[in-house]
Amino acid sequence: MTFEEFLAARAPALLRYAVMLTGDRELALDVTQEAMARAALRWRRISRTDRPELYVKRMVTNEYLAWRRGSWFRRVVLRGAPDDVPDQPVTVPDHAEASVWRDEVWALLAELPRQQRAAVVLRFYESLTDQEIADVLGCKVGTVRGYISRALATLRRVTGDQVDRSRSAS
Amino acid sequence: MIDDELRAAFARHESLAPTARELAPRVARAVRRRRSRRAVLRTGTAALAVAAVAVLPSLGGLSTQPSPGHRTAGPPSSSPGPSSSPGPGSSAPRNLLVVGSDERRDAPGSGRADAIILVHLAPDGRRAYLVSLPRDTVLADTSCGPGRPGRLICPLLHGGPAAEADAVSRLTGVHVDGVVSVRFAGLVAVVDALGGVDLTIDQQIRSIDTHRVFRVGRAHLSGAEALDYVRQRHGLDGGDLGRERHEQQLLAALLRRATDQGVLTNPVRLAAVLHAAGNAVTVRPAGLDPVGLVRDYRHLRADTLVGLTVPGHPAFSATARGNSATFQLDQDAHALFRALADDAVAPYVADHPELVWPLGP
Repeated sequence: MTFEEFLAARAPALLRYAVMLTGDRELALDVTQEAMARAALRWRRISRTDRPELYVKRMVTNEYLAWRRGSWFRRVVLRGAPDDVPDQPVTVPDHAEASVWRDEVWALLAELPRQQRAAVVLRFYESLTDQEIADVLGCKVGTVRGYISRALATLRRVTGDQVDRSRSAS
Repeated sequence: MIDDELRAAFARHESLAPTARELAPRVARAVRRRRSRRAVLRTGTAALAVAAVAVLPSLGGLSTQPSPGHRTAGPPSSSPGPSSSPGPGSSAPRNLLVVGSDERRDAPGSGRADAIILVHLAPDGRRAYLVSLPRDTVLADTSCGPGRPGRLICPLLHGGPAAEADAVSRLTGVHVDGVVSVRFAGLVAVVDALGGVDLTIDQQIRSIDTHRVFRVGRAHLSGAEALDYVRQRHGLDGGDLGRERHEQQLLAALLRRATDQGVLTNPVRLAAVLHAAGNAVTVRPAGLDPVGLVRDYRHLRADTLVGLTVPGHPAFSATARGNSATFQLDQDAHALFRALADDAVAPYVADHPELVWPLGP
Protein backbone atom coordinates (compact mmCIF):
# COMPACT_ATOMS: atom_id res chain seq x y z
CA MET A 1 0.00 0.00 0.00
CA THR A 2 1.40 3.39 -0.92
CA PHE A 3 1.22 6.30 1.49
CA GLU A 4 -1.32 8.02 -0.75
CA GLU A 5 -3.58 4.97 -0.60
CA PHE A 6 -3.19 4.82 3.14
CA LEU A 7 -4.00 8.50 3.49
CA ALA A 8 -7.10 8.21 1.33
CA ALA A 9 -8.34 5.14 3.17
CA ARG A 10 -7.52 6.00 6.75
CA ALA A 11 -7.60 9.81 6.96
CA PRO A 12 -11.30 10.11 7.85
CA ALA A 13 -11.02 7.67 10.75
CA LEU A 14 -7.80 9.24 12.01
CA LEU A 15 -9.31 12.71 11.83
CA ARG A 16 -12.32 11.56 13.85
CA TYR A 17 -9.96 10.00 16.36
CA ALA A 18 -7.99 13.25 16.60
CA VAL A 19 -11.20 15.21 17.18
CA MET A 20 -12.10 12.93 20.08
CA LEU A 21 -8.62 13.42 21.52
CA THR A 22 -8.37 17.16 21.14
CA GLY A 23 -12.00 18.24 21.19
CA ASP A 24 -11.05 20.85 18.63
CA ARG A 25 -11.41 20.75 14.87
CA GLU A 26 -8.34 22.85 14.00
CA LEU A 27 -6.17 21.17 16.56
CA ALA A 28 -7.26 17.80 15.20
CA LEU A 29 -6.18 18.90 11.73
CA ASP A 30 -2.81 20.11 13.04
CA VAL A 31 -2.11 16.98 15.02
CA THR A 32 -3.12 14.65 12.18
CA GLN A 33 -1.19 16.67 9.64
CA GLU A 34 2.01 16.50 11.68
CA ALA A 35 1.68 12.78 12.30
CA MET A 36 0.89 12.05 8.66
CA ALA A 37 3.82 14.14 7.44
CA ARG A 38 6.15 12.21 9.72
CA ALA A 39 4.62 8.96 8.55
CA ALA A 40 5.05 9.93 4.88
CA LEU A 41 8.77 10.43 5.37
CA ARG A 42 9.12 7.03 7.03
CA TRP A 43 6.47 5.27 5.04
CA ARG A 44 8.60 2.47 3.67
CA ARG A 45 9.37 1.26 7.15
CA ILE A 46 5.92 1.84 8.55
CA SER A 47 4.19 0.01 5.69
CA ARG A 48 6.19 -3.10 6.53
CA THR A 49 4.85 -3.27 10.08
CA ASP A 50 1.95 -5.56 10.93
CA ARG A 51 -0.61 -2.87 11.38
CA PRO A 52 0.42 0.45 9.86
CA GLU A 53 -2.79 2.02 11.04
CA LEU A 54 -2.04 1.29 14.67
CA TYR A 55 1.43 2.68 14.18
CA VAL A 56 0.09 5.91 12.73
CA LYS A 57 -2.55 6.10 15.43
CA ARG A 58 0.28 5.97 17.88
CA MET A 59 1.97 8.86 16.07
CA VAL A 60 -1.24 10.91 16.20
CA THR A 61 -1.54 10.13 19.90
CA ASN A 62 2.04 11.17 20.54
CA GLU A 63 1.50 14.44 18.70
CA TYR A 64 -1.49 15.06 20.92
CA LEU A 65 0.34 14.14 24.11
CA ALA A 66 3.34 16.25 23.17
CA TRP A 67 1.51 19.24 21.77
CA ARG A 68 3.17 22.33 23.12
CA ARG A 69 1.28 23.67 26.06
CA GLY A 70 1.58 27.26 24.99
CA SER A 71 -0.27 26.86 21.76
CA TRP A 72 -2.59 24.35 23.32
CA PHE A 73 -3.77 26.73 25.99
CA ARG A 74 -4.19 29.60 23.62
CA ARG A 75 -6.87 27.72 21.79
CA VAL A 76 -10.42 27.70 22.92
CA VAL A 77 -11.39 24.21 23.83
CA LEU A 78 -14.68 23.38 22.28
CA ARG A 79 -17.05 22.45 24.98
CA GLY A 80 -20.09 21.57 22.99
CA ALA A 81 -23.34 22.70 24.46
CA PRO A 82 -22.66 23.60 28.10
CA ASP A 83 -21.38 27.08 27.37
CA ASP A 84 -24.36 27.77 25.19
CA VAL A 85 -26.85 26.55 27.67
CA PRO A 86 -28.45 29.10 29.96
CA ASP A 87 -27.13 29.06 33.48
CA GLN A 88 -30.48 28.70 35.15
CA PRO A 89 -31.46 25.31 36.49
CA VAL A 90 -32.71 22.99 33.88
CA THR A 91 -36.45 22.72 33.96
CA VAL A 92 -36.97 21.28 30.53
CA PRO A 93 -38.16 17.74 29.91
CA ASP A 94 -36.03 14.75 30.72
CA HIS A 95 -34.61 14.22 27.26
CA ALA A 96 -33.12 17.71 27.02
CA GLU A 97 -31.96 17.48 30.57
CA ALA A 98 -30.13 14.31 29.80
CA SER A 99 -28.44 15.78 26.73
CA VAL A 100 -27.22 18.73 28.74
CA TRP A 101 -25.27 16.61 31.08
CA ARG A 102 -24.12 14.39 28.31
CA ASP A 103 -22.43 17.39 26.77
CA GLU A 104 -21.06 18.03 30.18
CA VAL A 105 -19.31 14.71 29.66
CA TRP A 106 -17.69 16.10 26.50
CA ALA A 107 -16.59 19.24 28.32
CA LEU A 108 -15.19 17.21 31.19
CA LEU A 109 -13.05 15.19 28.80
CA ALA A 110 -11.07 18.37 28.13
CA GLU A 111 -10.15 18.58 31.78
CA LEU A 112 -8.80 15.05 32.06
CA PRO A 113 -5.06 14.52 31.96
CA ARG A 114 -4.15 13.83 28.35
CA GLN A 115 -3.14 10.20 28.87
CA GLN A 116 -6.44 9.49 30.58
CA ARG A 117 -8.40 11.11 27.80
CA ALA A 118 -6.43 9.18 25.17
CA ALA A 119 -7.08 5.91 26.99
CA VAL A 120 -10.80 6.66 27.27
CA VAL A 121 -11.07 7.56 23.59
CA LEU A 122 -9.18 4.43 22.54
CA ARG A 123 -11.40 2.23 24.69
CA PHE A 124 -14.84 3.73 24.14
CA TYR A 125 -14.51 5.33 20.73
CA GLU A 126 -11.96 3.17 18.96
CA SER A 127 -13.03 0.03 20.88
CA LEU A 128 -9.48 -1.21 21.24
CA THR A 129 -8.49 -3.88 23.72
CA ASP A 130 -6.43 -2.95 26.77
CA GLN A 131 -3.40 -4.56 25.14
CA GLU A 132 -3.82 -2.51 21.97
CA ILE A 133 -4.30 0.66 24.00
CA ALA A 134 -1.12 -0.15 25.90
CA ASP A 135 0.69 -0.52 22.56
CA VAL A 136 -0.59 2.82 21.30
CA LEU A 137 0.22 4.67 24.50
CA GLY A 138 3.48 2.83 24.99
CA CYS A 139 2.70 1.77 28.55
CA LYS A 140 1.69 -1.37 30.44
CA VAL A 141 -1.80 -2.86 30.43
CA GLY A 142 -2.15 -2.16 34.12
CA THR A 143 -1.40 1.49 33.52
CA VAL A 144 -4.08 1.63 30.85
CA ARG A 145 -6.64 0.23 33.29
CA GLY A 146 -5.56 2.77 35.87
CA TYR A 147 -6.00 5.65 33.41
CA ILE A 148 -9.46 4.48 32.43
CA SER A 149 -10.74 3.81 35.92
CA ARG A 150 -9.50 7.16 37.19
CA ALA A 151 -11.04 8.96 34.20
CA LEU A 152 -14.36 7.21 34.70
CA ALA A 153 -14.33 7.99 38.41
CA THR A 154 -13.85 11.67 37.65
CA LEU A 155 -16.59 11.67 35.06
CA ARG A 156 -19.00 9.80 37.32
CA ARG A 157 -18.37 12.05 40.24
CA VAL A 158 -18.87 15.28 38.33
CA THR A 159 -21.77 14.19 36.16
CA GLY A 160 -23.39 12.65 39.20
CA ASP A 161 -23.19 15.96 41.02
CA GLN A 162 -24.61 17.65 37.98
CA VAL A 163 -27.59 15.35 37.84
CA ASP A 164 -28.23 15.80 41.52
CA ARG A 165 -28.09 19.55 41.15
CA SER A 166 -30.44 19.73 38.21
CA ARG A 167 -32.86 17.36 39.87
CA SER A 168 -33.02 19.27 43.09
CA ALA A 169 -33.46 22.48 41.14
CA SER A 170 -36.41 21.29 39.12
CA MET B 1 -23.83 3.67 32.27
CA ILE B 2 -21.09 6.26 32.09
CA ASP B 3 -19.50 4.36 29.23
CA ASP B 4 -22.73 4.63 27.25
CA GLU B 5 -22.72 8.33 27.88
CA LEU B 6 -19.16 8.55 26.66
CA ARG B 7 -19.94 6.63 23.48
CA ALA B 8 -22.92 8.87 22.86
CA ALA B 9 -20.86 12.01 23.44
CA PHE B 10 -18.22 10.79 21.00
CA ALA B 11 -20.82 9.91 18.41
CA ARG B 12 -22.44 13.34 18.69
CA HIS B 13 -19.13 15.06 18.01
CA GLU B 14 -18.05 13.02 15.01
CA SER B 15 -19.47 15.78 12.84
CA LEU B 16 -16.69 18.05 14.14
CA ALA B 17 -14.11 16.02 12.26
CA PRO B 18 -12.42 17.75 9.33
CA THR B 19 -12.62 16.03 5.96
CA ALA B 20 -9.81 14.11 4.32
CA ARG B 21 -9.92 16.67 1.53
CA GLU B 22 -8.85 19.37 3.97
CA LEU B 23 -6.07 17.21 5.33
CA ALA B 24 -4.35 16.02 2.15
CA PRO B 25 -2.93 19.36 0.95
CA ARG B 26 -1.79 20.21 4.45
CA VAL B 27 0.06 16.92 4.74
CA ALA B 28 1.69 17.53 1.36
CA ARG B 29 2.84 20.98 2.49
CA ALA B 30 4.15 19.65 5.79
CA VAL B 31 6.09 16.92 4.01
CA ARG B 32 7.68 19.45 1.67
CA ARG B 33 8.57 21.64 4.62
CA ARG B 34 10.16 18.75 6.46
CA ARG B 35 12.06 17.59 3.39
CA SER B 36 13.57 21.00 2.85
CA ARG B 37 14.35 21.29 6.54
CA ARG B 38 16.13 17.96 6.32
CA ALA B 39 18.09 19.13 3.32
CA VAL B 40 19.10 22.21 5.23
CA LEU B 41 20.15 20.16 8.21
CA ARG B 42 22.12 17.86 5.98
CA THR B 43 23.94 20.75 4.46
CA GLY B 44 24.82 20.89 7.98
CA THR B 45 26.88 22.69 10.36
CA ALA B 46 28.58 24.64 7.67
CA ALA B 47 25.25 26.14 6.88
CA LEU B 48 24.85 27.18 10.46
CA ALA B 49 28.15 28.89 10.45
CA VAL B 50 27.29 30.59 7.23
CA ALA B 51 23.98 31.54 8.65
CA ALA B 52 25.60 33.03 11.68
CA VAL B 53 27.79 35.17 9.54
CA ALA B 54 25.02 36.06 7.26
CA VAL B 55 22.51 36.77 9.91
CA LEU B 56 24.08 39.87 11.27
CA PRO B 57 24.38 41.74 8.05
CA SER B 58 21.07 40.69 6.80
CA LEU B 59 19.25 41.99 9.79
CA GLY B 60 20.44 45.48 9.38
CA GLY B 61 19.12 45.90 5.92
CA LEU B 62 21.15 46.06 2.80
CA SER B 63 24.69 46.96 3.31
CA THR B 64 26.34 47.78 0.07
CA GLN B 65 29.71 48.88 1.05
CA PRO B 66 32.47 47.64 -1.10
CA SER B 67 35.41 47.18 1.13
CA PRO B 68 38.45 45.47 -0.14
CA GLY B 69 39.90 42.37 1.19
CA HIS B 70 37.79 41.73 4.20
CA ARG B 71 35.38 39.03 4.81
CA THR B 72 32.17 39.33 6.57
CA ALA B 73 31.96 37.56 9.75
CA GLY B 74 31.14 34.14 9.05
CA PRO B 75 31.19 30.93 7.36
CA PRO B 76 29.74 32.08 4.12
CA SER B 77 33.00 33.31 2.99
CA SER B 78 34.33 31.80 -0.11
CA SER B 79 37.44 29.93 0.60
CA PRO B 80 37.11 26.66 -1.13
CA GLY B 81 38.21 23.59 -0.06
CA PRO B 82 39.38 20.86 1.99
CA SER B 83 42.89 21.47 0.93
CA SER B 84 44.99 23.18 3.53
CA SER B 85 46.27 25.72 1.10
CA PRO B 86 44.10 28.76 0.88
CA GLY B 87 42.03 29.23 -2.15
CA PRO B 88 38.67 27.75 -2.78
CA GLY B 89 38.29 25.16 -5.45
CA SER B 90 36.84 26.26 -8.71
CA SER B 91 33.45 24.94 -7.68
CA ALA B 92 33.37 26.82 -4.40
CA PRO B 93 30.63 29.39 -4.12
CA ARG B 94 31.90 32.88 -4.66
CA ASN B 95 28.86 35.02 -4.09
CA LEU B 96 26.37 34.48 -1.33
CA LEU B 97 23.37 36.62 -0.68
CA VAL B 98 22.47 37.23 2.92
CA VAL B 99 18.90 38.36 3.30
CA GLY B 100 17.52 39.57 6.61
CA SER B 101 13.76 39.50 6.63
CA ASP B 102 11.16 40.78 9.01
CA GLU B 103 9.13 37.62 8.55
CA ARG B 104 7.35 36.58 11.67
CA ARG B 105 7.14 32.99 12.73
CA ASP B 106 3.37 33.05 12.83
CA ALA B 107 3.10 34.49 9.33
CA PRO B 108 5.35 32.50 7.00
CA GLY B 109 5.99 34.12 3.66
CA SER B 110 5.19 37.57 5.02
CA GLY B 111 8.78 38.74 5.14
CA ARG B 112 10.23 41.63 3.21
CA ALA B 113 13.94 41.87 2.53
CA ASP B 114 15.00 44.33 5.17
CA ALA B 115 18.71 43.74 4.81
CA ILE B 116 20.43 42.58 1.65
CA ILE B 117 24.13 41.87 1.73
CA LEU B 118 26.07 40.36 -1.11
CA VAL B 119 29.04 38.46 0.29
CA HIS B 120 31.79 38.06 -2.25
CA LEU B 121 34.51 35.60 -1.36
CA ALA B 122 37.90 36.16 -2.88
CA PRO B 123 39.38 33.19 -4.74
CA ASP B 124 42.27 32.93 -2.29
CA GLY B 125 39.83 32.17 0.50
CA ARG B 126 41.31 34.77 2.80
CA ARG B 127 39.23 37.80 2.13
CA ALA B 128 35.57 38.55 1.74
CA TYR B 129 33.74 41.65 0.66
CA LEU B 130 30.43 42.63 2.15
CA VAL B 131 28.39 44.71 -0.21
CA SER B 132 25.20 46.14 1.23
CA LEU B 133 22.52 46.67 -1.35
CA PRO B 134 20.05 49.32 -0.16
CA ARG B 135 16.63 47.76 0.14
CA ASP B 136 15.11 50.71 -1.71
CA THR B 137 17.34 50.20 -4.75
CA VAL B 138 15.20 50.61 -7.84
CA LEU B 139 14.53 47.53 -9.93
CA ALA B 140 13.55 48.85 -13.32
CA ASP B 141 12.20 45.54 -14.58
CA THR B 142 9.79 44.79 -11.76
CA SER B 143 7.09 46.43 -9.73
CA CYS B 144 6.21 46.25 -6.06
CA GLY B 145 2.55 46.42 -6.84
CA PRO B 146 0.19 48.62 -8.79
CA GLY B 147 1.70 52.06 -9.22
CA ARG B 148 4.75 51.31 -7.11
CA PRO B 149 8.26 51.19 -8.49
CA GLY B 150 10.11 47.90 -8.16
CA ARG B 151 12.56 47.88 -5.25
CA LEU B 152 14.93 45.25 -3.86
CA ILE B 153 12.81 44.94 -0.73
CA CYS B 154 9.94 43.31 -2.63
CA PRO B 155 10.99 40.13 -4.49
CA LEU B 156 11.43 38.16 -1.27
CA LEU B 157 7.83 38.77 -0.32
CA HIS B 158 6.48 37.88 -3.75
CA GLY B 159 8.74 35.02 -4.74
CA GLY B 160 10.89 33.97 -1.81
CA PRO B 161 14.69 33.82 -1.55
CA ALA B 162 15.10 32.50 -5.09
CA ALA B 163 13.29 35.54 -6.49
CA GLU B 164 15.43 37.83 -4.35
CA ALA B 165 18.61 36.18 -5.63
CA ASP B 166 17.29 36.47 -9.16
CA ALA B 167 16.58 40.17 -8.73
CA VAL B 168 20.07 40.78 -7.35
CA SER B 169 21.63 38.82 -10.22
CA ARG B 170 19.73 40.85 -12.78
CA LEU B 171 20.59 44.11 -11.07
CA THR B 172 24.29 43.43 -10.62
CA GLY B 173 25.18 40.85 -13.23
CA VAL B 174 26.77 38.85 -10.42
CA HIS B 175 25.83 35.19 -10.25
CA VAL B 176 24.45 34.39 -6.81
CA ASP B 177 25.53 30.91 -5.71
CA GLY B 178 23.41 30.68 -2.61
CA VAL B 179 21.05 32.56 -0.36
CA VAL B 180 21.10 32.60 3.41
CA SER B 181 17.87 34.01 4.75
CA VAL B 182 17.72 35.06 8.34
CA ARG B 183 14.69 36.05 10.30
CA PHE B 184 14.90 38.34 13.30
CA ALA B 185 14.63 35.36 15.62
CA GLY B 186 17.56 33.72 13.85
CA LEU B 187 19.85 36.64 14.52
CA VAL B 188 18.86 36.76 18.16
CA ALA B 189 19.41 33.02 18.55
CA VAL B 190 22.80 33.03 16.87
CA VAL B 191 24.10 35.97 18.91
CA ASP B 192 22.87 34.41 22.12
CA ALA B 193 24.35 31.04 21.19
CA LEU B 194 27.71 32.78 20.87
CA GLY B 195 27.23 34.36 24.28
CA GLY B 196 26.59 37.83 22.93
CA VAL B 197 28.69 39.98 20.69
CA ASP B 198 31.16 42.85 21.20
CA LEU B 199 30.52 45.84 19.05
CA THR B 200 31.76 49.40 18.74
CA ILE B 201 28.84 51.82 18.81
CA ASP B 202 29.86 54.63 16.47
CA GLN B 203 27.05 57.05 17.24
CA GLN B 204 24.74 57.40 20.22
CA ILE B 205 21.28 56.31 19.27
CA ARG B 206 18.02 55.73 21.06
CA SER B 207 15.93 52.83 19.83
CA ILE B 208 12.52 53.92 18.61
CA ASP B 209 11.28 50.40 19.34
CA THR B 210 12.50 49.81 22.87
CA HIS B 211 13.80 53.28 23.88
CA ARG B 212 17.06 51.56 24.76
CA VAL B 213 19.99 53.98 24.48
CA PHE B 214 23.18 52.79 22.79
CA ARG B 215 26.13 54.93 23.87
CA VAL B 216 29.31 55.47 21.89
CA GLY B 217 32.07 53.00 22.66
CA ARG B 218 32.56 49.28 23.01
CA ALA B 219 29.48 47.39 24.08
CA HIS B 220 28.63 43.78 24.76
CA LEU B 221 25.21 43.12 23.28
CA SER B 222 22.83 40.23 23.79
CA GLY B 223 20.89 38.84 20.84
CA ALA B 224 17.87 41.03 21.47
CA GLU B 225 20.04 44.12 21.95
CA ALA B 226 22.03 43.42 18.80
CA LEU B 227 18.83 43.04 16.81
CA ASP B 228 17.45 46.24 18.28
CA TYR B 229 20.68 48.06 17.43
CA VAL B 230 20.96 47.00 13.81
CA ARG B 231 17.31 47.71 13.12
CA GLN B 232 17.60 51.40 14.00
CA ARG B 233 17.94 53.86 11.18
CA HIS B 234 16.15 57.02 12.28
CA GLY B 235 18.58 59.63 13.54
CA LEU B 236 21.60 57.77 12.18
CA ASP B 237 24.14 59.55 10.06
CA GLY B 238 23.24 58.40 6.60
CA GLY B 239 19.86 56.99 7.67
CA ASP B 240 19.36 53.67 5.98
CA LEU B 241 22.99 53.64 4.86
CA GLY B 242 24.03 53.99 8.49
CA ARG B 243 21.94 50.98 9.31
CA GLU B 244 23.64 49.00 6.56
CA ARG B 245 26.97 49.95 8.09
CA HIS B 246 25.79 48.67 11.45
CA GLU B 247 24.65 45.43 9.88
CA GLN B 248 28.04 44.84 8.39
CA GLN B 249 29.74 45.73 11.67
CA LEU B 250 27.55 43.22 13.43
CA LEU B 251 28.45 40.57 10.87
CA ALA B 252 32.13 41.25 11.38
CA ALA B 253 31.70 41.19 15.15
CA LEU B 254 29.92 37.84 14.85
CA LEU B 255 32.74 36.40 12.79
CA ARG B 256 35.24 37.72 15.31
CA ARG B 257 33.31 36.21 18.19
CA ALA B 258 32.99 32.89 16.38
CA THR B 259 36.71 32.68 15.56
CA ASP B 260 37.75 33.84 19.04
CA GLN B 261 35.73 31.05 20.55
CA GLY B 262 36.92 28.52 18.02
CA VAL B 263 33.36 27.88 16.93
CA LEU B 264 34.23 27.55 13.28
CA THR B 265 36.82 24.86 13.94
CA ASN B 266 34.86 23.03 16.60
CA PRO B 267 32.11 20.95 15.03
CA VAL B 268 30.25 20.56 18.30
CA ARG B 269 30.15 24.28 19.02
CA LEU B 270 29.29 25.00 15.42
CA ALA B 271 26.42 22.54 15.50
CA ALA B 272 25.14 24.11 18.70
CA VAL B 273 25.12 27.56 17.12
CA LEU B 274 23.44 26.26 13.99
CA HIS B 275 20.90 24.39 16.04
CA ALA B 276 20.11 27.57 17.94
CA ALA B 277 19.28 29.28 14.69
CA GLY B 278 16.79 26.53 13.88
CA ASN B 279 14.53 27.29 10.98
CA ALA B 280 14.89 31.02 11.54
CA VAL B 281 17.91 30.69 9.30
CA THR B 282 17.62 28.86 6.00
CA VAL B 283 20.11 28.16 3.25
CA ARG B 284 19.28 27.79 -0.42
CA PRO B 285 19.86 25.91 -2.56
CA ALA B 286 19.58 23.00 -0.19
CA GLY B 287 22.57 21.42 -1.89
CA LEU B 288 24.83 24.21 -0.69
CA ASP B 289 27.07 22.55 1.83
CA PRO B 290 27.69 24.82 4.81
CA VAL B 291 30.30 22.52 6.28
CA GLY B 292 32.28 22.59 3.10
CA LEU B 293 31.90 26.33 2.98
CA VAL B 294 33.27 26.77 6.44
CA ARG B 295 36.15 24.47 5.61
CA ASP B 296 36.91 26.26 2.36
CA TYR B 297 36.87 29.63 4.01
CA ARG B 298 38.36 28.76 7.36
CA HIS B 299 41.11 31.30 6.84
CA LEU B 300 38.66 34.16 6.82
CA ARG B 301 39.04 36.55 9.72
CA ALA B 302 36.94 39.46 10.81
CA ASP B 303 39.81 41.86 10.21
CA THR B 304 40.11 40.79 6.59
CA LEU B 305 36.47 41.52 5.89
CA VAL B 306 35.86 44.57 3.76
CA GLY B 307 32.56 46.37 4.15
CA LEU B 308 31.40 48.31 1.11
CA THR B 309 28.55 50.57 0.24
CA VAL B 310 27.19 50.86 -3.28
CA PRO B 311 27.61 54.16 -5.13
CA GLY B 312 24.22 55.80 -5.40
CA HIS B 313 21.93 58.38 -3.91
CA PRO B 314 18.53 58.52 -2.28
CA ALA B 315 15.78 59.71 -4.57
CA PHE B 316 12.08 60.15 -4.56
CA SER B 317 10.01 58.63 -7.27
CA ALA B 318 6.67 60.17 -7.97
CA THR B 319 4.10 57.40 -8.04
CA ALA B 320 0.38 57.07 -8.24
CA ARG B 321 0.42 56.80 -4.46
CA GLY B 322 2.59 59.80 -3.79
CA ASN B 323 6.31 60.01 -3.41
CA SER B 324 8.17 56.83 -2.77
CA ALA B 325 11.64 56.76 -1.27
CA THR B 326 14.02 54.95 -3.56
CA PHE B 327 17.74 54.52 -3.97
CA GLN B 328 19.20 55.26 -7.38
CA LEU B 329 22.47 53.58 -8.30
CA ASP B 330 25.17 55.73 -9.82
CA GLN B 331 26.93 54.68 -13.01
CA ASP B 332 29.93 53.81 -10.91
CA ALA B 333 27.92 51.11 -9.15
CA HIS B 334 28.09 49.03 -12.27
CA ALA B 335 31.87 49.23 -12.23
CA LEU B 336 31.72 47.74 -8.74
CA PHE B 337 29.37 44.99 -9.90
CA ARG B 338 31.68 44.19 -12.81
CA ALA B 339 34.61 43.99 -10.40
CA LEU B 340 32.60 41.54 -8.28
CA ALA B 341 31.72 39.41 -11.27
CA ASP B 342 35.33 39.42 -12.47
CA ASP B 343 36.85 38.68 -9.06
CA ALA B 344 38.72 41.96 -9.31
CA VAL B 345 37.37 43.81 -6.31
CA ALA B 346 40.69 44.72 -4.70
CA PRO B 347 41.80 47.17 -7.43
CA TYR B 348 38.35 48.73 -7.49
CA VAL B 349 38.34 49.21 -3.75
CA ALA B 350 41.83 50.73 -3.87
CA ASP B 351 40.45 53.33 -6.27
CA HIS B 352 37.33 53.99 -4.21
CA PRO B 353 38.33 54.22 -0.54
CA GLU B 354 35.26 56.39 0.10
CA LEU B 355 33.03 53.35 -0.34
CA VAL B 356 34.72 51.35 2.41
CA TRP B 357 33.09 51.21 5.80
CA PRO B 358 35.03 50.63 9.00
CA LEU B 359 33.91 47.30 10.42
CA GLY B 360 35.36 47.39 13.85
CA PRO B 361 36.70 45.87 16.12
